[in-house]
Amino acid sequence: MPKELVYTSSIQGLKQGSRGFCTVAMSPALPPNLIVMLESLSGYRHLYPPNTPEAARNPVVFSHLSFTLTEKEYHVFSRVADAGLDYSGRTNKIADHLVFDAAELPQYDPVSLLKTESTFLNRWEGSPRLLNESRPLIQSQAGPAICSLWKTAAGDPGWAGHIAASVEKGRSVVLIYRPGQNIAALIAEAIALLPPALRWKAGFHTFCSKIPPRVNCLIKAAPAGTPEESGLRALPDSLTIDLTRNPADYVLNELRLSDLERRYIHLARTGEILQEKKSDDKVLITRKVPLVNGNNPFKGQEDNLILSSMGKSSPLNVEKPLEFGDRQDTINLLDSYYEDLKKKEKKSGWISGLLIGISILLILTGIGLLGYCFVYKKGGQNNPPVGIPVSSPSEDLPLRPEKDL
Amino acid sequence: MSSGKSEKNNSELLCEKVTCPHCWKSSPVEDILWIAEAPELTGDARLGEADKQRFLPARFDIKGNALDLKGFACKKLACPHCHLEIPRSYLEMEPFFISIVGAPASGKSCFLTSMCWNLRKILPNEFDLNFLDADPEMNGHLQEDETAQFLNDDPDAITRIKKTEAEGDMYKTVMINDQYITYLQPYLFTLSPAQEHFNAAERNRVSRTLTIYDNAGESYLPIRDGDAASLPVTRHLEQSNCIMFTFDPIQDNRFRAVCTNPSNDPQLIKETSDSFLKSPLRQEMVLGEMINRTRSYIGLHSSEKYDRPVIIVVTKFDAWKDLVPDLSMRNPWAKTISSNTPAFLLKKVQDVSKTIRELLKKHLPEMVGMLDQFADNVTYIPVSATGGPPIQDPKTGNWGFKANSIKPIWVEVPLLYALSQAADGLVCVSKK
Repeated sequence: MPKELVYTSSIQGLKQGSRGFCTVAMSPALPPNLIVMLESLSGYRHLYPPNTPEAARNPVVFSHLSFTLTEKEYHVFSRVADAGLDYSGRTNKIADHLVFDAAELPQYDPVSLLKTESTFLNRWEGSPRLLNESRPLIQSQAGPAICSLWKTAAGDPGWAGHIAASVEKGRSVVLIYRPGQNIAALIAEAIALLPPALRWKAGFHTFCSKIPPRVNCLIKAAPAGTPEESGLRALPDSLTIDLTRNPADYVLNELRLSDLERRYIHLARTGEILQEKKSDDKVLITRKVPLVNGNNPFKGQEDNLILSSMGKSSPLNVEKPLEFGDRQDTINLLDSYYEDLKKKEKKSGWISGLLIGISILLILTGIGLLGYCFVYKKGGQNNPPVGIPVSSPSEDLPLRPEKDL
Repeated sequence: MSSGKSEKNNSELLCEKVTCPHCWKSSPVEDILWIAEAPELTGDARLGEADKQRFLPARFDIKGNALDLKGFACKKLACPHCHLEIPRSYLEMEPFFISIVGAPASGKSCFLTSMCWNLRKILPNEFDLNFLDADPEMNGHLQEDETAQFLNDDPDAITRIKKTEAEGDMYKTVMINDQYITYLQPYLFTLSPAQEHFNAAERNRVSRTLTIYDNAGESYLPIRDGDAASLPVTRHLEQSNCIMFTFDPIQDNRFRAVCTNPSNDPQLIKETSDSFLKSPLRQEMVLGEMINRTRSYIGLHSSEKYDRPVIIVVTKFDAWKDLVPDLSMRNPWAKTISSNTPAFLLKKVQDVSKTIRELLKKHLPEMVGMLDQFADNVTYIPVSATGGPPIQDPKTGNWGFKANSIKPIWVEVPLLYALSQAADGLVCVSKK
């Protein structure tokens, strides 16, 4: 279960001697460096004074930030908002932080947490205390749907898809909104388009000033007219969407969209996954692959590959259907098969040659030995062969003159 | 602390060493980093992806501005250690650090806002000193509070300064050696003689950058891990030329008991005082914690005394002024007859201090004793940041002060006194 820390202004805090802005509740055994980090993430700036009609428009700040402290990864889900006046009659706020470690993420869905009102505390009462029991949190997964809030806010639900594609690519997103606009719901709608495993990658902050270094926050938002707005607009290489403009002025430029963006935009507009139109020639890449020792080297891969051949001993025709998004994977797969096979062929060829050579050598050696044995057996020992004259040198035969050496 | 000036060069004198107002590390001026201007050069390893890169320049333009990798002329400077921005005036003038310390709800921010507002008028008019924002962006919060209290579009608006936060955009988190460290952003001003000033010829020598630290009161509470190395937000006490401790006497039950203010100050009337203060904090605990930390940072032996000025700013004077009916609160400065130079009347302030000390010693002897043991130069200066009691807004029920009707009393005196004691040559002092 996630850990929790609550921070507000109170006459007495959890730590002995603390009061004013301080931690009033937290889960036991939170590391001290994490407590310091969570408290530093509890900053809030009121746009309107308390107890005024405009006070309701003070932003409710939601965020999901992830970072590493002493080699441990944390995901912090937070809500910080105006909390009226404190015990001294001055402005107050309440910050509620939920801390997830990496192992807990698959059990929860940030979209469902964001959409559920009871996820966070919005007021604090009572004495400071340790939270020995975690509050139950919603664990269902929200599915993707047509982004109707984005249609109202920006004229086209496809903008939510654009944001989802940016998150998957790791590109920053900047959102400028009107004070009072429900930016958290818009962000939730966009994140819901992502597959569940990617949703925890989508760090966000709805009133973003300065994010500490090495803290993941891809989606940054700020109300229009604040100093934070100008800071965010200056971020380079970001997808910036100004929600204060007239939705009719928004046009999604579809000429330069990547396949990934098209897929998410289609999902945001229709709630359905885009089915790629498959052509008759579904082959991305073909390789003619010789059999290895007369055998099919792709045995067992029939589900992924289309194999055909002109004859039993002919090379294999290997085809792989193109699937959306795995173009490079397909090329790599077939090329690696082909390279492996070439190596196997070379190796088997070399071995065969060696064996043949050795065999020939053995055969020749055997023939030679047999021949030698046959010759010796027929002639006998110390008898000159019959019919062959033998003469010893005599004095009357002329001798060759000795040559000088 | 920065010291010395290099040889005059191109009519601009630079300090040899620069003390960063954020992390207080002292660096040679040639090590100061520049902040890139090119839009693509964003992302700093210590500050995060949103900040421009910091660099040590190899190329400069004809005006002496560094050129970044993309050839853009840069003007902003940064500390080599924490990479946070340093105003240029820090390279040109010696710093003067002031720490404003006090318990939560003791009136630090109110006092600071009124003090800065008054100084903007009094210093040029009475003392021939220019008092300017060294970096208007860094002083943004202070300017907002000044506008709300003194330049409000609606003169009938009831305003109240927001509670100072212990985190948020007045704090900067940086990453150094894989550790997150959070620094407090100070308020920065320049203080320099005008042409008519008696030391105008020594302008380069006597000018100062005024650095004021306004922590949330919670930063000074004596709690475990309250002064962690990753949160060194009170370590400016080591650098301070002067400590100003804001003491709110009406938070103390003993003092309140003797306050018989017939003007029906809601902070003193039982029926309404709860709106301002439930369960007041013992301020001498905060004072004790401040003393302990200062000793620890500086390395003072328990028998040694702190040798810089300590000013006890006794706030909300309008609520307890009846306890000192004979106290004259006329402006403690006058023009000298001989040269028409304005002089700060040191003796007058010391006489007032003596009276206030006696008053506090009578009702809060432990606090006075603590201070006497800590430092030799302790001065007690009464102030009122608003000049009158808070009033309730009939529309919202909030307590506050009527904008544009706030009349502070003696809020500029603590700084003038500090300058007379610790910044030679800025304020002409009369000891009569």
